[in-house]
Amino acid sequence: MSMSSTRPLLDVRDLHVRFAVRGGQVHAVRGLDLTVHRGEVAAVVGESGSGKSASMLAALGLLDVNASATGSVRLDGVELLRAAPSVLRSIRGGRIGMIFQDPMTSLNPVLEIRRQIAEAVITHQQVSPRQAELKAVELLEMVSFPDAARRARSFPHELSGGMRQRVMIAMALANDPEILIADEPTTALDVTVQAQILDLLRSLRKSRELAIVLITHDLGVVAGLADSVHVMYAGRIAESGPVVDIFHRPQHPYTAGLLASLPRLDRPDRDLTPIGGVPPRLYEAPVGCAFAPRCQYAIPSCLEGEPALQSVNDSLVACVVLPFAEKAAEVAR
Amino acid sequence: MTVDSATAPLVQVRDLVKEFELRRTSWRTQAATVQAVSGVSFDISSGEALSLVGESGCGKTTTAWCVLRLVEPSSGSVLFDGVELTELSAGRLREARRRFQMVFQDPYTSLNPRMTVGEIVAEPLLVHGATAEERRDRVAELLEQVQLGSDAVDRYPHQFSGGQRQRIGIARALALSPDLVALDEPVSALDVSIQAEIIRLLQRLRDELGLAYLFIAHDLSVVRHLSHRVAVMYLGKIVELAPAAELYSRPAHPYTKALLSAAPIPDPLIERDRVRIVLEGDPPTPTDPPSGCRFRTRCWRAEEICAEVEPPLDEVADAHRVACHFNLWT
Repeated sequence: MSMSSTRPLLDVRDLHVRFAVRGGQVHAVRGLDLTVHRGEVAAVVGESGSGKSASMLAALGLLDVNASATGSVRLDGVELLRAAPSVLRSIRGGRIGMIFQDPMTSLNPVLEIRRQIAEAVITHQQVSPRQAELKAVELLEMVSFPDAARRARSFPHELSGGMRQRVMIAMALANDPEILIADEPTTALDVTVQAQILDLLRSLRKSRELAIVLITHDLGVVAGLADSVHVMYAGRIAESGPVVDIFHRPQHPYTAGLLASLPRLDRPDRDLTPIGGVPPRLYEAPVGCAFAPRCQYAIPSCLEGEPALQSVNDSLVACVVLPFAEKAAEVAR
Repeated sequence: MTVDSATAPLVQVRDLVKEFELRRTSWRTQAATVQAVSGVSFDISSGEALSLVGESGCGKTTTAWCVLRLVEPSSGSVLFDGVELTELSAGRLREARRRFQMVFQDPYTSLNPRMTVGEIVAEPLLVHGATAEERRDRVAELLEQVQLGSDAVDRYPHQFSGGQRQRIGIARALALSPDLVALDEPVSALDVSIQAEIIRLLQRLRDELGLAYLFIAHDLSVVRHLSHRVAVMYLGKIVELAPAAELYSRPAHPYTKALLSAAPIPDPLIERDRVRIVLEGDPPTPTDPPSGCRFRTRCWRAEEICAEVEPPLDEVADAHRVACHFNLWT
């Protein structure tokens, strides 16, 4: 191992993702910087089309053929973007585990779940099929799958959504990954089942020092799990920082706007303040700050070039109307 | 707004039951009956918003469909302003439907992509025999009510964002000036920043037009902003029914307590130290519900009596009903 213990586990620099579409291209991710350290839970939040999933798919080399990625994504110093397919295959499911939103479509419907988990083991480890299946049962026990030894023979359709997501997590952990990329892991689940899965993720990150990249639109889930939050808007980071700062001292008008528009169980009498307008479609580059057309604090200089990320307290913020802190805190309250 | 209000409620639902037959499809499966709704009763007064909340499969959508008779209930009674809906002929039902309309969850699939917005919103008027001029005036009025520009009339659904499409769906539901609108997860397909706009629009329309809402949702924080009363459903039954503020501040049923405690609050400082009730397992299958109290298999308070006797939905405080053998109301 290298001597630099502070080197981030995952280091994304100036990542761009472009999708070729009929009559042009969509520039979905426009220069993303993101670092995740060992054992850290980093939440990437944003609305649909903000580029949060596309950037992680790019990092894993899982983009469709009509997409291209440039920039740099390093896992512990190893460049992934220009890595050979065989290298990527050994890293995916090996050092990087992945879980996706819909556990039903991510599982093979005609294979017992213990076989599917065993397959993940055999792909990366020199073990016999028999050993791999024993390991599969162990993994199911680790994710609190009830009656694992017997129910390992189930087919996906015999399981509930929560149980399927546990199978997905067991598969993702099969080769003792250092980092887990979880794309909306609880969005398809009911709230009481979501609570179970979040509990499981919390205990796994503690017991195994697992780093997690949590991609989600649900700020409630973020609040309960994340250490750092990266708010994306129109393919770029609007603001990133420690979770408490993001929720309690948002610096970017978009972050503050998101928080103010959330209905909150604990504050029923608070009026909801929507963010007017809709996010831009990225067929062409926005002029200036992409959020400016929806921003109540926008000033003329917002339209002169895209704002660069700058440090404010412990956060990085891409906004030229700084200092915005006082106003934003007021809005979010 | 309870039974003692001077006028009869707008909607009175009594002992509603809906069963679906599952046919045997292979040698591995068996024929079975799913009781999606098992004896549900509630009232909705004029101008009142009642929410049905619960997890997937609890029967909340089926209940609403039965109330609007979009599916035929197996038994039970639905009185709408004194008229028994379950017995109406097809023709009379169509006439009655003027007064109750529905908004669907997915604004992308519930609008015909080949019709203009004007045609979509005017269709209910056309069905109920309005003239071309009446339709044009009413459509303009409706688009203004849901805050879509009048230039929307000649455009098609794909030219609008999710939030705007949901506004189109709402305008269509309001076309015939209904008394009751059933809303099935109207904001759950929308992004957060858009959700707030639709919630505010629904609040405003409710207050301005005196609409009654039957609101179906799984998100308890959204429900809180839109309802006067909330009914919590579990496996086809109402387990708790109370005024919204009361239900959230003093939940009495173990399931309601668990639901509220599982709903994440977007504040890391609160979330960190929160004591959660995490339920074990999943809801049982509705083809073979547990005896007695249906929640007992996941309930931390369950005792012997829960398996033997089904708890009735009793009033524990003013207008607050709970189906539990233990008085957890404090």
